[in-house]
Amino acid sequence: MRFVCLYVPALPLAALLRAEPDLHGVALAATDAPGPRGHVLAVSPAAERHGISVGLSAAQAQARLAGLTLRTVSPDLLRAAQAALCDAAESFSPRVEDAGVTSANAGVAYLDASGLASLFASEAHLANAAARRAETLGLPAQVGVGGSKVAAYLAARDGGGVAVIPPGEEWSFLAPISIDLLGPSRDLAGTLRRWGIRTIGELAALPAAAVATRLGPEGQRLLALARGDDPLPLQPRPAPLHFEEGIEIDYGIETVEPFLFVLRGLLDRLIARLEVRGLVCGDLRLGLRLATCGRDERTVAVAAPSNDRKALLTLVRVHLETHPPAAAVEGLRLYAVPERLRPAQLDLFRPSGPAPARLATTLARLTALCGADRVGIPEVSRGHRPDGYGVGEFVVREAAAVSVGSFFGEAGGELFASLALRAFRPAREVEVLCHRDRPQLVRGASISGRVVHAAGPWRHHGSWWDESRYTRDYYDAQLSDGGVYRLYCDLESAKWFLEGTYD
Amino acid sequence: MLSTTTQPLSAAARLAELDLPGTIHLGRTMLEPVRRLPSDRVAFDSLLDGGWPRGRVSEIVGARSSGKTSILLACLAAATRRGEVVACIDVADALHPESLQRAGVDLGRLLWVRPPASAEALRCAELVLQAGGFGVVVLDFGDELPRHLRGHTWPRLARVTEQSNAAFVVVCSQQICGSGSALGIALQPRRVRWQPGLWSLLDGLDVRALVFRNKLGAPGRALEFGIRCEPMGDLGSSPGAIAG
Repeated sequence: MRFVCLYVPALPLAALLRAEPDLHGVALAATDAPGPRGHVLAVSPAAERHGISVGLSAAQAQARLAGLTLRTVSPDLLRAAQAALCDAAESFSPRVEDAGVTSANAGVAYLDASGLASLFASEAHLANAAARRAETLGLPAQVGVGGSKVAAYLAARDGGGVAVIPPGEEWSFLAPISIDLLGPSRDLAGTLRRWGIRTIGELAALPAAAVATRLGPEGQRLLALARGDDPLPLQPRPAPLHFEEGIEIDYGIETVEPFLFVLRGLLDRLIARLEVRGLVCGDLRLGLRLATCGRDERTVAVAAPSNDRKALLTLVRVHLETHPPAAAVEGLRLYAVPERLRPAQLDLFRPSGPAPARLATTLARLTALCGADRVGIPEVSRGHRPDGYGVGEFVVREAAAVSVGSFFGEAGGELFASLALRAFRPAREVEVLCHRDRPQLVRGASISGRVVHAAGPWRHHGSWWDESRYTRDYYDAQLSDGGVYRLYCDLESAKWFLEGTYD
Repeated sequence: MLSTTTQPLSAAARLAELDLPGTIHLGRTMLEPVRRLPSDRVAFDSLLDGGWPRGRVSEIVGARSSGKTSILLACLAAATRRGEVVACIDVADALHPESLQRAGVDLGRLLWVRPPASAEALRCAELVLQAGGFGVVVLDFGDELPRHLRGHTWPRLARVTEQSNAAFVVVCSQQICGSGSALGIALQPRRVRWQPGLWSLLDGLDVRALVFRNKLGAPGRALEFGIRCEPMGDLGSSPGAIAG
């Protein structure tokens, strides 16, 4: 069995640089808490040159270097970086073990390399590809390949870049490596140093029974590691996919533009993770921590799953402009629902229609401009109410078979079209003068005229079982202004209304 | 003949004076043929030179009861029958779903947008055109004249229309597009027809369509046709009927 280990040295620092690439080359220290009481977790090489080391307090570090940039690493940021590392590993094989961010092995992911020989020319090619994949996600990973997890881990840590231990040569490779890489406790390291044992080879040569007697269980565990024996087999991480990125902001964001600037970084990282797994972004869930100590959880629906950053940002922008948060935002978590992209089968003989991603963006913008109930497809009222109608969700479906009806025809050399009604919404109230129950004159705010010709009435009533009951007498009337109208008399209120005009 | 040759030569001399070497080609510009969206009927298509032009702004102008909505619905029906997705920016909020259904429009392929005002309507039209993929986009102002129209509105929409390759149809009671439209149809009501008989039901409208602007062909052509009234739902089948 062969294993690949991806190791990111100083994960807190790598997580910070992944979130803020502008800090590359700066004297930077990652702390575990804001303020002078925080402790330094990791330092950049530029800061290390000035004597800043892990374990100092933030105040001590700043006393040594005035221009030191201090950043607090939030647990969300660390978890996202570790998850990104596992995503890079899972883009090669589904059997990936996550060492976790709380353990001493933070920044480590193991990958079962069995069966990958046919996909890559050599194990070195596989290791290089894994390093490049992690690099695309913003993580500078060292990669080691070996016959056990321990061997791969030690190769990754000691190699400094990419190191491959050929099968059967683990012993010769690991023997000169310092025992410090095995992570012994301070007491045990002191004991071994007094014995003159400094390398893994020297430790592995000791008799197991004697080590167990003199050094106890920890010594026995260390000896097993030195001999390349894994304490546990590979434990693949559970299958459910979780794509989340988060950031804590030092100050409250109150306007959309800076918020989107922060969000763009999170989205870029999230999409990069999705892309290496061959997935696309479905709905986006935003978790906002507000300045008023409240939380605002919201979901931005993505009608057409996509990795188009611009379209996704536009959807979030439209959503925020329509439903702004109640207070300034001090923390942000972004979770993407992963989707598999299903390629649509295009029709050779029909137009393809709007691109789903662009259509989703356009619909979101139209909804923000006009309102949710004013954008959609028209629906005929299911009831019998003459002025009833509905608006449904607009989703491009397969073209339905529409009967070539009498909407437009030629008969006897004359062209015909079906007469349409233009509705007045709401119906316009008018004053109507009648003679022998026939309308003679119509007078309203914008429409007035003598009735030239009229047909009707047609009695229409319904909904008698509830408050919306109606009883109406309908007429078609041609007025002297040239228009032909549909008007009705509401018998419940004895008022006249214009429902629409034939046009 | 002399004047046609002198003009390019002087331009070439002017370029030489400015030290801007270049080549001036004489001859015709090769234009791509304009694609059309047919209305499926020979007489009306011949009036439009083959159908509604894609990538261009067309204008339907007519007073109340002139038949402009009926023509519009016929255009939408023809497009959806071909599998096109269409959009209607309905400023007047006047679209009648039952009329659409009777005209043969596939309602599932019609995006109905009802903006609150004409300013938002122009923005909506631009957004829909920019999305691309729509066969027909209609901007229906109805009987109201749009307010706050600026000089650059129609050139801007014309440019977006050209990129979208949709047939963009503007409906209004008066001409509003100016030179921004490539095709303009004016509808004039001729006569309202009533059925003879005791109850004299509405039978339809006789309409005259006149091409008042045609940048892609010859303007001035006219066609007279009838628009037939059909019973609308539960109403109008016979006087005195009680339904619901």
